[in-house]
Amino acid sequence: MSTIKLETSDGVKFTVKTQVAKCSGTIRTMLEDIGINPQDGEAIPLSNVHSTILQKILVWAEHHVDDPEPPREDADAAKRTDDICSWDEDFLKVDQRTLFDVMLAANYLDMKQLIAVCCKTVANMIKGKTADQIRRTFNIENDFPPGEEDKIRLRNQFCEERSR
Amino acid sequence: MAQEMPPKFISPAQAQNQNDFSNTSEQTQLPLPPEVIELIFQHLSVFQLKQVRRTCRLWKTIVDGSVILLRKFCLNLPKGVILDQACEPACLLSVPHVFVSNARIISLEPWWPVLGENLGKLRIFNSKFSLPMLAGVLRRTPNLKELDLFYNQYPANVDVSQFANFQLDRIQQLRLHDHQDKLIQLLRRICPRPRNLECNADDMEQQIIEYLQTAQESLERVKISATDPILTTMSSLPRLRLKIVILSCILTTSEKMLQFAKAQPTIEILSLEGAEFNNAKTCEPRLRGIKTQTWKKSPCAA
Repeated sequence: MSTIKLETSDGVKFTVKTQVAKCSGTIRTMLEDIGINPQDGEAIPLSNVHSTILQKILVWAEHHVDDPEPPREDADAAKRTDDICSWDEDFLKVDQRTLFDVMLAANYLDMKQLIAVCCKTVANMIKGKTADQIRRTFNIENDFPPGEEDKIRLRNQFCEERSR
Repeated sequence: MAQEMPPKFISPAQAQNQNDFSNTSEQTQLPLPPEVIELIFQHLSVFQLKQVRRTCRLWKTIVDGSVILLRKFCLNLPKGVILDQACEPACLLSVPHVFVSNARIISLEPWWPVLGENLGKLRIFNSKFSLPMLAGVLRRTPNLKELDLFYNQYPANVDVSQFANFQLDRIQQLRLHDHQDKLIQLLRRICPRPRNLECNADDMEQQIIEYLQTAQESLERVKISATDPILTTMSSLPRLRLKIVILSCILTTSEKMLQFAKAQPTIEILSLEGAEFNNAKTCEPRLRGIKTQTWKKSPCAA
């Protein structure tokens, strides 16, 4: 079985099944389009990914390696967030820092399905919360000038869901 | 998957420190690029996005700048809202759909230019408007595709040629339920090439005829009252290529309608509201391919 080597930002080398590594669009492009030859034994440098995060991501990729291609989604369609599979739900039961690091790495590695399931997870953390509760959940500073938030709240009332 | 021996052992805590993207010890913002934050927001409803806009400046900027997210919104300027110079454009979302009902518009500056620029659909309902003000509204909507004007009042006695000195080239659909001849004159000058024209003002016969003459090359669908002069005009326009015709309020005979259907061979759907078409299909072979829909509503004042 063909394997390739990946080297993370902190210098850790991973030997990974090629098929699993190809869950990453970035690595797939490197192998197929740019023509990096994995047989050379040279590790592909992933300078934006730390070993702890890559290890986690490889667990996810190994589990999902045989997933069929997802159907193309209509950008306008209302997106569900209640369809996260229980394996992914358990997988993403991590602290926020790790969750965001996984998202950053998945973004860099171009892993659309992993990003999607992470986005759903974060969206579920936002749903049902007020602006104040959202700020507390993510430790976000309210950086509006005084009075600005009230104005937005006032104007917000004009905005409605567009009827289709 | 086999991990080779790492050069040295790194504890998760150390790893996190090494991988820390923020400079401060306390995180004050999601450490994610805006395009990923936008992906998260795509899963939220308008109700939730309103809370998101109030959370912090960056999040507001992301929502306000996202075409995909703004498509979910429509801006509804409700009853009693007074739009004047104090209305700050920064507070209003520049959304593709704006509905105005019972609003009092005193000044278009500075808020309207910001809204109008990207506007695709505008509906003005039950409001009092001067025609110069309406022209001012439309002058700032270069990308407008759909315009609905329902039950508004416009003071008459204005010379529309004075301010109808621009055109909206992207208008596809016009729906007018306003009985004001000057309004129809104004729109004929500003929007001369709609694909879809609905005009529910049967007392504006002459203005509707003029509009049909002007727009004959672009019109594909019309919904209008069926009077003798209107049908005669439509039958005689050489460049009219209608596909869908909905005749509301039938004020003519079925013979006239048959003549019209014969004269316009491109019609695919002929729909009659509030009238029956007396076995027209069997007596007129031309109409066999036409889908005629008839249904009874409350009887029209004929």
